[in-house]
Amino acid sequence: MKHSGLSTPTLILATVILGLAALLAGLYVGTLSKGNQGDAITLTAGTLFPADFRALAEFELNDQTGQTFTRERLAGSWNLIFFGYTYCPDVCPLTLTIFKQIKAALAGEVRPQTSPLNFILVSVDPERDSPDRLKEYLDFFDPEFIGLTDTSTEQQQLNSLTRSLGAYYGKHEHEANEAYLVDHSAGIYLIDPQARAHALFSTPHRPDEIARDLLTIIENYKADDS
Amino acid sequence: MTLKRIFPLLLLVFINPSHAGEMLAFQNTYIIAAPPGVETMAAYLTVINSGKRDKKIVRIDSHQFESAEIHRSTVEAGVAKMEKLDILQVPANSMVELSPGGLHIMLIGPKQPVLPGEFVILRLEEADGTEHNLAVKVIFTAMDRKEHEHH
Repeated sequence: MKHSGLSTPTLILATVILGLAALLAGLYVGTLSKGNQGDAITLTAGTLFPADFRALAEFELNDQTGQTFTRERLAGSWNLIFFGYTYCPDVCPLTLTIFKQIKAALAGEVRPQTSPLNFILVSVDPERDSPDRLKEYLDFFDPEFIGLTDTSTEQQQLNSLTRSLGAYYGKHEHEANEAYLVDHSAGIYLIDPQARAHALFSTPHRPDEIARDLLTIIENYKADDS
Repeated sequence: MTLKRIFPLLLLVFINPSHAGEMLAFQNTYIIAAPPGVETMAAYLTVINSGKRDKKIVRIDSHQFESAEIHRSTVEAGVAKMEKLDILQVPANSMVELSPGGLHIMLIGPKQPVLPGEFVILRLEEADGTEHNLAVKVIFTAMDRKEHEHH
């Protein structure tokens, strides 16, 4: 089958899976330790990142208007990040529809003084997803959604963000003129107003549960220096 | 009921031969509209095989697209993957559901923009050469579909 192989060696995939396993183990232990402190919040769909894992690396991507978008742009807002690409016909439109449902579920629920919530699609296919293309794509779902793509040559900026979130993407092997597929992390990542990884919402995504968890997190959130 | 009304029904009964139950049936067909410029779309449907023999769909195409493939989305260890299937198996006495986030027909390279409310003609071919032509409606989003179901 043409699409079956991955261009990245199996070794790298194995490393990433091990890394993910380590991260998940960390999340589990972190959740437990938080529980012991007695100030734990109960989430239905999401998992909190333990404090040690929260720091995000610096990155410099471009938004759909062509403007630079760095880690600092995440600060001051709540941000839901999903990795995907516009050539993906099934999972990505589904997740953007879930973004719309979360946004609709939260409308009027969040107190006005709360930091705004951004919905962000980060392209794992910068070769085909130019800022213009992302704009056209996202305008269809919701013009307020933010689309980010890496205009640097080696995708180092994108890799910086995915690595620091423990996210993965990998392009399928393909013939020169053939459309290709990209595997990518399916989770929705919550970045807090201090630009730190705060929680992960794994699949299956249920918009009502995610919206409820977001309200819980936002209402219990206290900015700190840790 | 007048004879005029019954007559077409009688015709249907006579035209559909006794092995009608052996034919594949298709339900719940839809395509979710894609943003402009998008090169791939997904078609969803439920295939029902109420017959006693296993069936295989071996080819799908549409004159409105460059090509069509059977794909399956899966999530393994938190990673969303897509794989191409050469054959869609529909075992005897069973139902196979193609739905968002799972099995789907990936439509590649629309020859013209395909808009909500329009129909896409899909041709599905079984291993024994039996063909099915389906007119599949393009709907706006999965959310719209749910709303339709509720009303």
